[in-house]
Amino acid sequence: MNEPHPRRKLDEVIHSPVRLSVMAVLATTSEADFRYVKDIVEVSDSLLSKHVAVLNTAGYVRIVKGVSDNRPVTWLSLTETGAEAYREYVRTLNRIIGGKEAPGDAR
Amino acid sequence: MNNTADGPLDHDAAASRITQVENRVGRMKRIYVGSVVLLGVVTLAYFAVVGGIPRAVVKPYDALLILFPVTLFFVAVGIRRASTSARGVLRVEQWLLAGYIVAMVVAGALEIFVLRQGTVAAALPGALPAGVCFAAAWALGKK
Repeated sequence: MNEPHPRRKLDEVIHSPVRLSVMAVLATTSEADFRYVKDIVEVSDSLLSKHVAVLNTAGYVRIVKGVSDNRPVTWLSLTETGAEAYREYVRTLNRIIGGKEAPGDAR
Repeated sequence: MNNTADGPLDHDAAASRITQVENRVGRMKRIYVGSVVLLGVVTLAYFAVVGGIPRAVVKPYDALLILFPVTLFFVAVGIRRASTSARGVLRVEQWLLAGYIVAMVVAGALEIFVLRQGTVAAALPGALPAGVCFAAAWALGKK
């Protein structure tokens, strides 16, 4: 039996424009506050919250709430599982697009 | 990347989105670290002008000195906006702020009470707060 096409291995949780962007930001910065991620991804608070909740439920993103300069801050970071899932997603994506320079491989 | 970009994602679009995000994060980091370096350079230049040039020469241009706090304000806003505000970064920013204020007070005191205006020595105290900025930029660049 043939091996299934790599696209079937793409993680559906990550394979959404906003969630992929959030994962890419957090893979690059290690930790960032909600406002920073929102500025980079350019989405509304509510849409970002919705997608971050999905990633959090999947165990990919850690959410820490705290206070900085007397204002509430929400810090986001990738969990180990999330980092591994993102790396696997990028590897799979690179296999699909076949030999093109790998996004995220520069790190 | 906007609110309407929440539909299906083809593979090339996914790859280009990753590259796009990485470029944005990289650009933001360059702006961030560059702003901290700029803060140091502006401070160094301010003390060099105020301390190193004889009073009689700079007196007609005193009104321009208001540009210094205005520039500081905009640079500080740039730093805040480009910051990831990660907890490690916030700690360095707090050290930068505290160190910068203390160094500014010391440099100001040296200018007023110790050094004679218009001498080379009087142009140098700005190196104290500028040094704090350069050290912070180095530390932040590694994060």
